[in-house]
Amino acid sequence: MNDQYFYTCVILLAIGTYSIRFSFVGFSKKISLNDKFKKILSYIPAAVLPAMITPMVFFHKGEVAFLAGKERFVALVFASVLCFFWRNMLVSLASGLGLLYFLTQM
Amino acid sequence: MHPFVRGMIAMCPILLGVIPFGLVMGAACSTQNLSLVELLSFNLLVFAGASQFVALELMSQKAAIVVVVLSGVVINLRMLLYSAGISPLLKKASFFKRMLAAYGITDQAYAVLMANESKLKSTEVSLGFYAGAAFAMAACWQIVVVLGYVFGNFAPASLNLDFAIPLSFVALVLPSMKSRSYYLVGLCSAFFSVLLHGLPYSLGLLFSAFIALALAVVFVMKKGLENE
Repeated sequence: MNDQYFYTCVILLAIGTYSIRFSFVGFSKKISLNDKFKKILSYIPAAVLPAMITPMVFFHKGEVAFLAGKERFVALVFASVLCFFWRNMLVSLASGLGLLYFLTQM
Repeated sequence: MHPFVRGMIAMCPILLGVIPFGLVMGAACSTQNLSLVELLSFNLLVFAGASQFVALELMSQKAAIVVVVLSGVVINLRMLLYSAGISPLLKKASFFKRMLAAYGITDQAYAVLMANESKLKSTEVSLGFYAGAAFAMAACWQIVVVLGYVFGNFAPASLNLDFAIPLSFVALVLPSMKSRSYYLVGLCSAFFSVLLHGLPYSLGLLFSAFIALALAVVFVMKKGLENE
């Protein structure tokens, strides 16, 4: 791809992505947040992360029939249950990656 | 311990999942014959994992500039929520600090901040923790992308390290679930994301997140500030 095309895309992408990130942060002095708004903000991880998790598990490598990727589904459920009780990142990673390795390699 | 260091340490296990994606990104840039300067400007200026993958793919197909930019930006629109989420920490921060904090917004840095929120005693501590987490994330991504560019994707496929991303997201989202209404919002998000997965440019993710957040707004408006 030629330089002019590449750098035009990159600079416009940089402006676009940075504007999104800077939006609320940039005007945080002018925005007064009431308690209800803050309460809504506390739901953001619950609203965004599950939407990112499920496609990575159900549609791994484009397998639309999600049962084809059942090893990942099983490993995720197992790790989630352990993580629910332990509340520990390392427990979740070790159990999930370990079980997936076991299911796919053994 | 200094909150910056605590943030960096909290980020370390999550970085395990970032490594294979960075390597693939670097390897993909090398396949597209980007020079090292082009690779660095692309990664440092845009710094947006999933958006970059889509933009790179579209650029390699010589797609119209407006298509490249719009798809890249739409995928990153969820950062609008994170920007709102960290804004209460930055009410007293200087313009320069706010510019840096905005640059450091990623899924991981925001989620790790929220997951540890209850342990962070003041706004200053939270901000320091966030800065450490965001710095670790940004530094790791840039280094790993360059490694992938130079050496290709050398992470052993049998370890499935990319699976560390959903696993770490599970561990990050659970502590933010404070009551049944949070679980309902999470289920709603997951359900629509599977349902709308066929939509192009990760629009399914964007719509699911906003539908789930709309449900959260309903809960907050109906139930007020108590937790259930």
